Formats: sequence, C-alpha cells, structure tokens
Amino acid sequence: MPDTQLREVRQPKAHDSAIKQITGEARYIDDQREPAGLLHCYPGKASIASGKVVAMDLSAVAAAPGVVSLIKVADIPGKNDCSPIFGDDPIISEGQITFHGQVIFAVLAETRDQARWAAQLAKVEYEEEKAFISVEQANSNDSTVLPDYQMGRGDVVVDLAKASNRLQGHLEIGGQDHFYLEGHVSMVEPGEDGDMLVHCSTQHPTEAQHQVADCLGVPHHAVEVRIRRMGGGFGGKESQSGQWACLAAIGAKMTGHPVKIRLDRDDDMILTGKRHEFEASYDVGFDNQGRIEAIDLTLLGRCGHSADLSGAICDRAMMHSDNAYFLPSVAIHSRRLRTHTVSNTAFRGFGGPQGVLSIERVMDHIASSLGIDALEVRKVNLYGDEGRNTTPYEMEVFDNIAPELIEQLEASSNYQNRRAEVVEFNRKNKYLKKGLSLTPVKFGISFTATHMNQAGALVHVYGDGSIGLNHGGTEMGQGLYVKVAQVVADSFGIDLERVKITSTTTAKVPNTSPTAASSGADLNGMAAKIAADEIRGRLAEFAAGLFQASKDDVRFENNEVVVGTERLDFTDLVKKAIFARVSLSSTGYYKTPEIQWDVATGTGKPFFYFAYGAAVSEVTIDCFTGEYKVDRVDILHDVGHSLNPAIDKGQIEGGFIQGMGWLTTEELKWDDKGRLRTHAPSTYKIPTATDTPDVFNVDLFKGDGNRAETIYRSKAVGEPPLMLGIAVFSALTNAVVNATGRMPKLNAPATPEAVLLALRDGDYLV
Amino acid sequence: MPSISLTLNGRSVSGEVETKTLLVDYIRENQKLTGTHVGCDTSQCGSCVVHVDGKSVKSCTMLAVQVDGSEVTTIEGLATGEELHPMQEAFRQNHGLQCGFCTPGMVMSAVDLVAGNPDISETEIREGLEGNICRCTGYHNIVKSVQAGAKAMGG
Amino acid sequence: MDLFNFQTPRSIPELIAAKNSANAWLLAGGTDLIPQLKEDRRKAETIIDVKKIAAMTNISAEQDGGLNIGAAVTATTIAQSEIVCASYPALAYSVALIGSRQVQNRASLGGNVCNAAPSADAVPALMSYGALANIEGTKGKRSLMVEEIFTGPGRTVLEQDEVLASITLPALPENTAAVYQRFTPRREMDIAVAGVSSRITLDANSKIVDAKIALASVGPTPLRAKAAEMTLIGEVPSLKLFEAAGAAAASDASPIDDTRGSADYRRHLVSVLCRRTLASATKELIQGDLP
Repeated sequence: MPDTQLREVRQPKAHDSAIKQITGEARYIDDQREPAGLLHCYPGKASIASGKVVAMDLSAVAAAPGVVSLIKVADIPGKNDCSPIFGDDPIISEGQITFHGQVIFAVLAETRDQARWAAQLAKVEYEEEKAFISVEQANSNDSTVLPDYQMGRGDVVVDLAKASNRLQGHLEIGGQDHFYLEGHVSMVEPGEDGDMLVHCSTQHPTEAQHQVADCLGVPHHAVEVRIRRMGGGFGGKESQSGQWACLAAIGAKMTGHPVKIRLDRDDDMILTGKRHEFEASYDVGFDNQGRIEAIDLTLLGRCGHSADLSGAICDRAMMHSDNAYFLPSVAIHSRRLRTHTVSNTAFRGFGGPQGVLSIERVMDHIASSLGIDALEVRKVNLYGDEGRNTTPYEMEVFDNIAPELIEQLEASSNYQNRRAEVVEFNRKNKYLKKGLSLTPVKFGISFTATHMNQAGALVHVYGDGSIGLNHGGTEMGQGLYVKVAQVVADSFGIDLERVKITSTTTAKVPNTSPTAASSGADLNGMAAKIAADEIRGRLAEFAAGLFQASKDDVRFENNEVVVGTERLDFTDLVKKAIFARVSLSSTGYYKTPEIQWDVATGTGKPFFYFAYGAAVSEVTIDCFTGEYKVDRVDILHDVGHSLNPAIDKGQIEGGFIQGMGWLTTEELKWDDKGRLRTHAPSTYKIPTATDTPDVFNVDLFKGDGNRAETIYRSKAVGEPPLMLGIAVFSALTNAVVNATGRMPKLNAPATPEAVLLALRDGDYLV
Repeated sequence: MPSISLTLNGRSVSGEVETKTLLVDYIRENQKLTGTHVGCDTSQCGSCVVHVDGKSVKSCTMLAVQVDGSEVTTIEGLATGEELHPMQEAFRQNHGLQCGFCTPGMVMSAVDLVAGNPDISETEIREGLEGNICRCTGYHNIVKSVQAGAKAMGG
Repeated sequence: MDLFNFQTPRSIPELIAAKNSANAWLLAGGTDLIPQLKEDRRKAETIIDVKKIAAMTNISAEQDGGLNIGAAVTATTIAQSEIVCASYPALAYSVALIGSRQVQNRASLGGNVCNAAPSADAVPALMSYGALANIEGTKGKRSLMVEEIFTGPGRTVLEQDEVLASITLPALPENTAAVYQRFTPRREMDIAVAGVSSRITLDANSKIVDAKIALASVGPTPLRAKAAEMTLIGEVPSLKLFEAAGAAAASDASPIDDTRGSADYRRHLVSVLCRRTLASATKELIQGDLP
C-alpha cells in the first residue's frame, strides 16, 4: 500500500484550539460548568520546614463559615502516597514535617474563599528539628534522597595530571518555577460503584489515575482521569498534579459531593516542586587550543525532601554534561541531595540544562584562561569522526550535525564581524561593555527510563467520514494535538478539519507515559499513525475488492479514494465499508526501538537520537549598576523535517525565552527557615514582553531530516530550545570578562546584582 | 446586598451582588463567562484583563460594585457574531498563542493598547503589554499579532 | 474577605463623613487594598470608592502658576496631561511606571501617596517638586509637604476623619529641571530596588541655588537626601560634584536586605542614580558636556 501524499503534515497549521482560545471559548478545568453540590477543597500547610506535629487543633477550622468537612490523614481510605516512584510523598503528612508548606490536613467548604480562609485557622504545635536548606548543608551532612551515581571512562586522575593546562571551577545554578499561567487544579465527580471521574490538569493522566485509585483503595478501572488542555505544564504537571487530584477525590468519597481544588498562585509556588538547583565543580585538563584532555565533574542536585523524579533528572544532567563535546577521559559524579524544601521535579530539559550549562561554563573558563574566543574552544571540542564520537556513557553520536549547524549560524549571524565590532565597542566605552557568545545544544531524545518509551492511540472512522482521534499525549499548549491530527489526516488523505481531537482520558487509552521528555509527537504521532494506517489498510482492502484491483493500487488523497481510474469520495467508501461490515476502529501502539540502558555500568543507548541547535547572543552590560540588555539573538535549530513549522518555531522562541529567564531574572530565594520568599510574580520575575532581545532571528535548520526513523523524520522540539538561553548567560560572562580581563565568579541566575558583584569581584565598594 | 446594573458585552444586566465579590468572579461565576481567567490573583499576570468603559483593567483587583453603571466588555464580547474582531483574527493568523490561558487577557489588552494607533511601534507594543505575562510563546508571535491587529483595526 | 459597606460619595464632605468610622478604607486602583482584603491582612467595614467625587478627579492650574491634581485623578490621566508633561515631566514619567497600563487606568495619585509604600513610584518626583498634600477633615483643612505625611511603611499622619483631597505642585522658578530614575531587575512591571528623583534650579551664573533629591525603596518611607542636597547648593554642576552628591545620597539612604536586593546594592544604586539624575537634569538646562 503506497504512502499517502503529505497534505497536512509539514504545513504551518494553527494550534488546534486557536479560535476557541482567542474567543474565550476554550475551557480549562476551572472554566467547566460546576456540577450541583460542588464543594471546594483547600489544603492546610505546615509552618515549619522540619520536625514533628505535636498537637493539631482544628476546631476553629471546622467551625468556620461554610466548612462542610475536614480531611485528615486518617480519612485516607487507601495508600497515603502521591509519589511517582518511591513511595515517599505523603498526600497528607503523617506527623513528620519535611518542608515548609507541607499539607497537614485539608478543608472542604461550600466556596473556595471559605475553604481557603478556614485552612488558615488551624492551631498546630510543632517540635522543630534540624533543617537542611542549602546544597552545602545537605552535602556536608550526606543528606541524600537516592544513592550517589557516577559514569565515565578512562583514568581521569592520571590524564588530568598529564594535561597541558589545568583549571578548577565552581558554578551555582539556580532553580526555576514553572509559572504555568494555569496553576494546579482538579475537579472530581463521584459516580456509581465508587467510580471517580477526575478532571485533572496533568501531563500524566495515568499516574494521576493510579494515585487516586490507590489512595481510595479501589481498582484502577474505577478511576477515569480526563484532561482536554492545560494552561501550560513545562514538567510541573508531570508528577505533581496527583496530590491535588487525590485530595479532591478523598473529599468526594467522604462526602459524596463533587469536589474542586485550585491552588492560588502563591500556594502553587510554595507547595509544588521546581527545577533542581545544582552546584557544579570541575577540574579540567586541556591543550593549548583549549581541547579538553580530561575532566572530572561533580554535579550536586538539590532534590528537596523526597525523591520524586530526581534520580532520572540527575541522570539526565550527567548525560548532558558533555553537551556537543567529546570528553576523552571523563568522570562525572552525581549526588542527589535531600533538603527540607519542596520536592523538586521535572522542568523542561529535566536536568539536561544544568548539565549543558556546566560544560558551557567550562568552555568559557578555558577560553578566558587561554585568551582566545570561546567559539574556537567550542569548535575544537565538538564531537567528530571515529574515535571522537562516543559519549561518556558509550553511546555513538551517530547523527552529529553540530559542526555544520554551527558553521551555518556563524555565517548567518555574521559572528566574526560582530565579534570585531564588540572589541571595538568595548575599546571605546568605559562603562558599557558588550559580550558575544555562540553556544550549541545537543539533546538526547527518549525517556532515559526505557520502559516509558511507549504510547497508545485510538482512532475511529465514523459513518460520515469524520474521524475521532484519541491518544495518550496531553495538550499543554505545545501543539501536540494538532500535530498528531495532521498525521492522521494524511493517513486517510483527508482534510485536517475532519479529524476531531478529543480529550486525553485513561478510559480510552490506558497505561500511558507522561507527555514529557519532548516525546509527545514522536510517540503519540507514531501510535496514531499505526492506528490510522491499520484502518486505512482495511479500507484499502475493501476498496480493492470493490474495484477488482490490488490493495497496493488503492490511494487515499484529496478526500477521495483512487483506484486506477476509479475515484470514490472518502465518505462514500466509509459508508459502503460499514454496510459491508468492515471494522473502522483501531488502536495503535508504538514503542521506541533500539534503546537500552545498563544502570550498573552507566552505559548504553538511552536515546533514539539527538536534537541539535545553536544560538548566538549579544549583550550590553552597564558596569555601574549591573543592568544589561540582550541586543540580539540568532538561533538555528534542528527539528528534522518539521511536522508543523509554525508550532515548532513557537516552541523554539518560547523555549529560548524561558531558558533566558531561568538564567537571568528568575531567582528563587529561601530563607534560613526554609520558607520560599519569592512566591508571587511580584518577587519571582519571569520575562515580560520588554525583556526579549531587541533583534531576534529564529530559523529552522535545513537538513536531511532525522536520521532515526521517527514520525515523518521529524525531531522532538519541546525541551532542546530551552538550552539555547545559555547563550545569554555565556554572553554575560563574556561581557564581564571583557570588562575586567578575568573569569568572573558569576553564578546563575545572572541578575543585575550578580553581574555587578561579578564585575567588582564581590565588593560594591571597589 | 447592593444591586448593580451594567452593560455587559452590549447587553444590560442587573442584579444583587455581595460587596466583596471581585469583578472577575462576577464575570466568571455570576455571568458564566469563563474566557476571563485568573492566573495570579494579584493584578500581575493580566489573564483577567477586561474593558471597563473602553479601558483595559485587571478584573481581579476590582470589585463588581465598582462597575455599577459602566460598560464592561470581556473576551466573549469582542467578536461580532461569527466574525472575529481584527485583533482576534491577527492572533490566529500569527500563531500568537500556545497554551491559550493568557490569550483572552492579552487580546483585551492589545485592543485597548492599539486603539487609534494603527502604526504603533514594536517598542510601544512591548511596553504596552508589560502587564500581561505569557510563559509559552516568548512574546515574539504575540507582538507580531498585535502589530497586525493594529493595522487591521485602522485609525 | 468579609462583607463590608460599599459607598460612593459624590463630594469631599460626604467622603469625610463616610471615612470617619472604624475600618473605613478608600479604594482607588485597588492593587494593594484588594489583595490585602482578600488575604484578610486588612479588615474593612466600609470601602469607599473615590472615583465619583468630581472635586477630586480634576487637574487645575493654580493662579500662581502651580498645578492642583485631585487625589482621585488616575495615573493614565496624569501621564497624558499636556500641562503635567510640559511643566512637571518627572511626575508624568513616574506615574507611567506604576504597575502596568491596566493598573494605571485605575490607580490614583492619592492612592500612590497614601499607600505609603517606600517604593511608590510617583512620590519621589512629587517630593523633589516640593509638592504639598492638601488634607481635609472634620476639623478643617491642612497642607503638608508630601514627605511629611509618611510615618512608616504603609502609615501616614492622616487621621481617621481626614482624607487627602489633592496635591499641589508649586510653580517652579526659571532654570529648574527634575528627573526621576528607578532601578528594577526586570525592565517593566517591577518594583523599584532603588529610585532617585533629582530636581535642581540654577541661577544666571549656572550655580545651583536649589536642589531637592528624593529617594525611593531605601528606607521605611520615601525620603529626602538632605546631605546630598547640601553638597550641591552654591556649586557649579560638574561630574565630580554629582559624584560627591551621589556618595552623600548613599549615606542619606537607610536600606535593608530583602528579596529584591541587598542593602549594599541599594546604597550603591542610589549613588549611581543620584549622579545620573543630576546629570540628566543639568543637561536639560545647560548645553554641552559637564566639566
């Protein structure tokens, strides 16, 4: 059977909900019509970071206006856990407090305001215990959530000793709040037989289903989790939505009423995990061109009070601390530190950005010590041919396009001339200094946990020729739904408009993986194509019978079925097929081939392929205040043969700005009591429309498509562009080097205050 | 409970409302117009922007009783029947959205910002959108949309 | 949030009568009051909308050349007022920094003053213009310098039976210029880590005869940098002079460490911003580079 023409795939189709979103018709969970009798749930929070609850008096809470019931830990019918893996995240604390804000009870009231108000009235006595808040405190006390892990090759100690040049350095890397515009929200409707319909803003409906069922003590089949769209996710709704769904479900079970819970912004920031803070320390040996001979790298990850997804996140940080560079002799050590803070979690890049930033700092440091342009250092270190093409975990970099991509960007951004202009500008200006940097990204695509690389889809063809499409992927704004619909439309040769995209639900496609690891379109696109192609195969066979032709001569194009000289409207064929008793519904199942990982040796092929990109950033800093602006950014990014170039460019632009925000204005601050001090947009500053580069050029790399056999040879695009933001941090570093002549102690985020301190070597009075 | 009368999306509405009811809650809960969103509750994010007497305001920091006698327009009142407002059309054509949660507020701010200024500069647009946060798009396509919308709206 | 009475007085006497009861608060922009009420950080029995009092929503020229701005005039109206832009540009500039466009459409000058935030954007400019706060109450009227009404963060000298009715900007002598600059980590929609408004008046020989410098976000209230002002009087503008004034302003400041910035950083910023605002103001009055 010949492949159909591509009419919808590769076209810049609008987001599936665009019209609904601009008219206000698109419904997020909080916009759904509320069922009669709805109660509102709100959590009560611990006010210490570490210790025990000695006494808890909830009488004022219970007596508050509108309060219907309280949820205490004893009210949980099943398992008190909402962790993704390790069983260490209680839905409600059992008395031990492990972070400030931890849920210690919840309130059910008639209105949300009443529930929120009442939740503050608890009288709680604590016995405080020692709290570790900082990386340093946790590290020096060997406080960890999971065992240390290492990977590498060669004898680094010997090779470092032999190296021509050697440097040591340290970089602190801040965390990041997801700041999805829609905070965590769940609404649960109880049904008969103890069934629960759970509307949950989650990237991982299956996990939420399991958590809700387990906490209620019912089989998984009794719980349906449904999500049409999220108002942003970015990883924050992968493992951390379940807790809120569980609380609402417990409340629904207790009262028989539907229950909704929506955290307000401050509580969302206080109660849910963020990107991991990291500290990177390196000892690197290199030749006179800056080519790395050996490197010893330690990555300390601040995981918070529980393991959550920290194991895989710290693994990915390790696996990305090579970025696009060959490290001949390498040792990477990782510690997964336990602190008495909220449990850090998935965030776009999943540890990868911290790894990439670490090695990019090494590149800048080497360049500064040799007094050469950092781009030259980066180029000599890129992966290359045989002998220089295996990662520290012994995977062959089989699809390396970084050298070519960087060369194109260097030319299109006019890098070399602008570098000369920067030198000239800096010579003329005493108090304004410019920096310029080009940084690449190589990002491994696949879940590092091999079993998660699977997806299912369900496709129905209805009697009027319209298509119902469902798959396990969730829509959080990234355009997954429209991409998969484009794929399905082309399988049948019909217009995109005939494909109805339906809410993700555990009742239609079970046992799914989260929409994460940039894998949404790769996995679900393939699963949906398999389902659609199965039905198309049945239709083709049926059409072949109608026209006494071979199945291989049946083509589906332009809303028609073409068999030799015969043409039949797609709908007519469908009608005839149903009459002839042909099944027009199919599931599709896909698992990523080739990948494997050996935990014991830290080697394998964890990734199906790599996505590449690079960015050039030019900044100007004000040496009096540390203020800066990003003058210009040029990006060249590889998405293979794009499924939808408009959507992909949007991901690149948005990812870059989010990465830039992480490394510039977004600063999380905890006080020594473990309280988050930056828990609102007034103190935690994500970029606004004026923080973006003055000139912003974004192009898609024109290559031969993905060398791995992905859906129409496209590449994943969700996470990789975030790391393009590192070019801004590197350019700021470069500007400080240009101002002072030495490598600064500039940590991330490079806030204006941090830049000023870096310029003045830590002293305002210089 | 005080009683208020206003024109909401061109239609007269009146009724009793508690003094403490926020305008955004009045719109979403009393009037069931859920296109106006709550993103931060503290007048920062701009998801809740509506027009009161033609000017953009953040409905999470106004009381419903304050709009007594006013004309209020929400995102649902922008289109004329099936025909999208030029600014809505511009957002659609220029891919000015991703998750869409900030979009209604963004569109409402944009309409007020460019009114009577078809040649508004990119800098003016960026500064004018300071009160609307978007976490997905990086603002690039939003700014393009607003520029196109301004042109389409004319002087 | 508890229920409260909502009142919309039409005149200042009605307003005073409404406010003269326990826990009565004036509502203008609402960006501070409404979140405070919502979080129950502030109790209210009466909320008073001041937007419908005609006498408080006008900008009018005074006979002596000064300007009277009603306390309920919105930031947007002030920023777009021709007379403010022409005569008091530092005020026009600084009210346009309050929150965002949507906030400026609601926020009033009186609210920005009476909220008594150390970071209030409009206040330093008012102080350096020598503005008067016109207060009315049951016992009569009184006028104070704007800086005299602050007693601490969020606290003013206003009695329960008093309201701020208007602000008077005095007529400025010839050869006067004022400039406000603030520093924020994010370019827009941010709260000042430090702000400085500098106003100078030169005589015919280009000597500084009057200087008023006001600082934001570096103390419990907006404050005057008196030591910095003293360094300027009688001197001829120069880079060196302004550096000295900046250093003096830094010592006038009494900042604290908080999540927005350290005390040292704020002090440092005050010295830089003081120098820069003085240089900009001078540039409006004298051609050519500073010696």
